[in-house]
Amino acid sequence: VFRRRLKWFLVLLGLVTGAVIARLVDVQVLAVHRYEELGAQQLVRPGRYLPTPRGTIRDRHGRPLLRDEPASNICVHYKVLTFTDRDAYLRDLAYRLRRIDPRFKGQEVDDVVLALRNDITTMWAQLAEIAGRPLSEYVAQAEVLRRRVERIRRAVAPRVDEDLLEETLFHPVVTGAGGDVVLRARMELEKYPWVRVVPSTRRLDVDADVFAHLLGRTGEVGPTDLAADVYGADALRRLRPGDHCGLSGLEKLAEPVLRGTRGRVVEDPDRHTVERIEPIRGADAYLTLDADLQHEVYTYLQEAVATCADPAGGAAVVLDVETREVLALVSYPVYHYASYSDDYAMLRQETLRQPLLFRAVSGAYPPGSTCKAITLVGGLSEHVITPNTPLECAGQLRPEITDGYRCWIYNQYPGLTHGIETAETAVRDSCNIYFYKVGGLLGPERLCEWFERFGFGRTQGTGLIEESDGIVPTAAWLAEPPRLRQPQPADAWNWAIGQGEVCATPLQVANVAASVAAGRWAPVRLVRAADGRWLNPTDAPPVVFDESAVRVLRAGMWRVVNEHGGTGTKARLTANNYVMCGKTGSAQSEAVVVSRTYWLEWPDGRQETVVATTRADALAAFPEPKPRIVRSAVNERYPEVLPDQRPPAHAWFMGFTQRADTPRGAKPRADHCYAIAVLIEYGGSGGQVAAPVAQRIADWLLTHDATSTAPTTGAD
Amino acid sequence: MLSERTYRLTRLGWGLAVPVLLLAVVGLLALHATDRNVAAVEAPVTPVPADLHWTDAVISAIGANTVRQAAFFISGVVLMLLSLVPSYQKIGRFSYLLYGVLLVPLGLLVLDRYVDLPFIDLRQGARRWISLPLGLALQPSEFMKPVMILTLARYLRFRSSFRTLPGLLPPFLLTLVPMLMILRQPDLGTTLMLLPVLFSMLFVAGARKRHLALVVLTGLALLPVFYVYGMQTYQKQRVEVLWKQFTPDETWHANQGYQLRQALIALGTGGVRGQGFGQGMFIEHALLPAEHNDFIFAIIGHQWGLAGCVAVLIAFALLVFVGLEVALVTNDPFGRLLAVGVIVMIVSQALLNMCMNLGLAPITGMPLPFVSYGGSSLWANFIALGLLVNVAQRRPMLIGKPAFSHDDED
Repeated sequence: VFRRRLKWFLVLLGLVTGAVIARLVDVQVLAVHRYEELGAQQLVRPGRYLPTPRGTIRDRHGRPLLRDEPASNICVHYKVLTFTDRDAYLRDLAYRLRRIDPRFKGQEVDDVVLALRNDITTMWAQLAEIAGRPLSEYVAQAEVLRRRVERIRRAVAPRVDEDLLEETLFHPVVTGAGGDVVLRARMELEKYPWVRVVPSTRRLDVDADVFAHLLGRTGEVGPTDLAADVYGADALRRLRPGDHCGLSGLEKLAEPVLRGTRGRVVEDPDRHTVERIEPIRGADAYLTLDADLQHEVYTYLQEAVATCADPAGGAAVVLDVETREVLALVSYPVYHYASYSDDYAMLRQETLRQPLLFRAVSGAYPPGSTCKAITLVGGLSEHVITPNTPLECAGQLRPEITDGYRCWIYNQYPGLTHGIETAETAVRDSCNIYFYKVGGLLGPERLCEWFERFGFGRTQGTGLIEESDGIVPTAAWLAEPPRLRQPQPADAWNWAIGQGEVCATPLQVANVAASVAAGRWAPVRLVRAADGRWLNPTDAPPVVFDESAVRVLRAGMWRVVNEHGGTGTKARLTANNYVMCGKTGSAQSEAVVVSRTYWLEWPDGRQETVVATTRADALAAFPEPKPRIVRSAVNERYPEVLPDQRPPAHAWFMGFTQRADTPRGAKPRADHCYAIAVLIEYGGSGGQVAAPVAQRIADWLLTHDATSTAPTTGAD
Repeated sequence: MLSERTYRLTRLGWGLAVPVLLLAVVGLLALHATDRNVAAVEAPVTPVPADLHWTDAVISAIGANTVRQAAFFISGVVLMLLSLVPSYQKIGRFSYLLYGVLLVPLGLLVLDRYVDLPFIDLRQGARRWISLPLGLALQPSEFMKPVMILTLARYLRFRSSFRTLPGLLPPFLLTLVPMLMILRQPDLGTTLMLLPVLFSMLFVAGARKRHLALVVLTGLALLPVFYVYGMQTYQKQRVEVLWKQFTPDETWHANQGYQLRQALIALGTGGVRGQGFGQGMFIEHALLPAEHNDFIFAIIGHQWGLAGCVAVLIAFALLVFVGLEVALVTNDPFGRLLAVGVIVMIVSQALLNMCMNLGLAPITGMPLPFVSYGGSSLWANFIALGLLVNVAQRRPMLIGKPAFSHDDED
């Protein structure tokens, strides 16, 4: 029995041994090439990346607005940023310095370590002094860097006993330093073995301030940017944690073009280069904007706002009607591009001027009477009126409603009315009663459809994340909380003259003007790559309007500017060969809340009041535990008005230029046909305040020929 | 009396000595090759004081691990010789006592989970070592292996009760108690190691095949349940290595599959003839974790190639054949069970370790006997080997009286 069982046992052992031998032969003889290949990869160190500059953002003529320039990062060795291995690092350093540094010659290692520790403290103080920022900022930056490396360490710790690459590197503590700071850092800081000044780049604004909102910012990537990276599969082009990328404005929109391809150096353990890929700088992005025009328009806006009784802000947009290229996209006020990060906290607090608001595309305002253009085209196209349908202005829409639905003329000069109006004269006079009636005939649903055809309630295709949709108060929109109501016939009266819920951005209004001139709505174009490819989405389908309806409107808009008694005569051009057609608007405004009073209560029952702009700001000044906000009330509004008064209206003007010999109402020829929209917040009367700005813009355009030189898209 | 004892010692037998010496030398050489302390002396940062003590000089010349392992080896041989002196039957009488005594430190290791004992440290998430003075630390579970063999052999030697299914219960219980205690350390490898020893001893003792098959099948059926409920995530990951090693997903190979991938590369780059002693990137750049103990087989394959691996296999095969011959020749049931138990213990550890190096078995902490670095394991193996030699020495167990020996002799 025993012998037989031993045989069984031997057979089992033989089987396992056979498997071991088979696998050995497989690994060491048959698959040997595969493992040799894998082995060769073992020896290659992980590549070192070479940074690459970002592409330049240029205007339509190729003039640079924002470009990368050489700068330096002041970097500190990781072991000095951390606390865990610092002493071991300093000890190794001390052994070496004792041999080579006369300062430490012949000293005890412990004494050298002590001296080095003091050096680190001195270094941080010097760094703060040289770079001109408080020491606490660098301590915080060191903390951020340390956290990042510790996260990596936790992720790979189970299989690495040695230092990670990140734990032996110099990490940037000051980024984008230039000039004097670099020079002093080199002379005063680089004597410490743990400090290095490393070449890098920084964003330099050549001419960025009047474009500040449009250009946007770069900043450190977040998790969402990493996840949505278009180059996620390209090891050299994809974003890595700690990289900078476009976060807003054009920097984000044109990110795929502007981002360069980093280079890589791979070395074997003996530091011989195995592979070297040179970095490729980012490509340039070309705006359709004209830098000179942008500057001019900014100046005009600034002057116009300054003359207002309640100066706040403004915006202006210029489009080329034929191509829908954006020639100017101006918001006033702007912020200073270069000092943005320093000023940010202050800029955010400015609730009165709101310099961070990109008014031209983000600001949604009631469009006021400029909206009457859409109402008219809608009424004519839907055949609820004809060009000659007479509608009477009696100063009031309904005699029984005495305090509402009145014509502006009746408000300003009680007793005065427009009498019988037809389409063209109603546009010229901007008669509220006429358009109340047309809106009433159309009804809210059809009116909303026409707003949407003219581009309201959706983006105009700039592709900027800042671009607002505006508001078209459709039945579905009204049914959502917090509104929860049905559209009513009276809504149509209000919306028809651009009041009530309907809201539009200056860009949308400018595109309405362009759509009227061209007889069709089309998406705008903003930025292209060097090869001419559009970077903003231009695939929204155009909407073509009934030419016979638009003709009436164009003729009306001609009369607004060029006929005695028109509301926009201040936009009449001085140039002889061209005329402006336009529409004014004075939209009822709401005062903004500049600050609130907050009543705070502590757990022990003490109360205090604080004036602040937001709840968070109200609590920011207090240490933990935070008090509770019991109540809040408006402390200050802008503009300041008496309780029964309204603040000045937002002043609008929209229009387009055409050759003087264009037949009245005909579709203008493509050359020198520019659409312009101007908005002055709390400006009062559109005809008095906004129209002159449009006139100045048009005059400059027609004498300087912004589009005459073809956009430069090659190398400059 | 003295002359008789001397006579026994000379019968150590080259059949066991040659393979064990070969394994030990290969192990020490591989260990020396991976000893990083040697290189540290040459590094310029750490200064070498002029008045270096001679022991430090030796350590820095040969390597700290190698020196320690050599000391373990010499003391292990002494332990083996000591375990030869009393007859294995005399030792056998103390089986249950030894078993009981060893349960105490194993119990302490379990107790440390709840009460922090000063002489037990948590190392790599496990409580396996009991610290002793002089910086020594012993692993009681390693010594449990030979004691387990003694106890089982003692229990099974004259019985036939295990030929019934209920009769299998006592030997299983004897094994399960230390198994569960070792599992709590946790040490999955050593825990599972006791099972082949038990089965093979029952098998050669003549337990019914269908009974054993029933137990094995039940065990296999319970395995998935154990996998799902009884195992920690990291243990599951090690088992998953078995089928996931063929995945093309490089991130898996760079993380959970890292150790096996490195071991296979070390073996593969060794090829047929190897990189040569002290040569190859795995020696130069320390690319393989646990290269000096659990994965020393891969380092052997890296340096000496397929030839070296097969030589190690042949050495173990020699051990098996000589050991089984000892079991065959002796007709004392206790001695026979003891010999089989020792051989199974050594060879199953060896095979499991090689399989784990090659991706044929889950990666559990399992040293290669006589080769891997580690004092407790080496000592336990030498004690077990001593028992085997002990049986071999007392080979002529004739039924009749030995010649010229008389009952009334004094």
